[in-house]
Amino acid sequence: MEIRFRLNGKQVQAEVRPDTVLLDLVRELGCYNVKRGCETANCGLCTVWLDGKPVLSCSTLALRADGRHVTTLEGLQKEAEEFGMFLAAEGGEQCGFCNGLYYERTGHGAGVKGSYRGGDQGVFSRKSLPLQRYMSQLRAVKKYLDAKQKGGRD
Amino acid sequence: MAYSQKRPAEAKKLRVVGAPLIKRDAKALVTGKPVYTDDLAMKDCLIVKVLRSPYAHALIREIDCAVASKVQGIECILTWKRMCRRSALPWQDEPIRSPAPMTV
Repeated sequence: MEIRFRLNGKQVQAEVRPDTVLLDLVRELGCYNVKRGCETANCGLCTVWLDGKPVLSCSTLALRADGRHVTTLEGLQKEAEEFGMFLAAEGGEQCGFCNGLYYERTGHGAGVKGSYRGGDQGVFSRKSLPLQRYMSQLRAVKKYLDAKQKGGRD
Repeated sequence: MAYSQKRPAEAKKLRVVGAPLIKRDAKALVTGKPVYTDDLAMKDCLIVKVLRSPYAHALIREIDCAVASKVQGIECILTWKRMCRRSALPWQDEPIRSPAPMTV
């Protein structure tokens, strides 16, 4: 089956099987930041934005992306670096395997376009960040959100 | 990137001790660059998968590969039959024969 969608702003078309999950498709298309973690919709490593909303690509059929916008960290390099250096400064990036999800979760919580709602506890609720909530990462998110609010950047 | 951390007064005189240090590869890690084996593996490389018994503490009496070896893309299936029985590695339910069983 052929699908067309926008991947990080670029129009792409792909031939997929009915049971192909979005995770495999975006990795095939070169978005290696999207990681296969638990494959059971628990860890959140495979998070991508579908029309600007975080979804777990391991449990989203590739067909669902048809005609929609898919965003991975490859399309958010500037934001990822800005946020990531907060993580790095706190030593929270660790081995880096799960870093992708932090921006995709925090950035979305912080509101890419709008204002940030819910406080850092909102970002780190079990639902939005299921994997890890270590102190270093909590500190990084908090500092990032504080800096965002102070800086008044979008 | 405004980052500050309180350091003890005596450590402030030192450049490295007590100072936070950002890892050299931090940028590649936080921006999701392909740095892991699975990201770098060639598209046409052979992939090894281990199939374990789904039953805990069961005795494996037979392994039938007839159907599995017909699956397209399967290059070979390795079972105990292809292994040398005089290996220093212990087999399931066999006494350990080597003083250092974990080394290959």
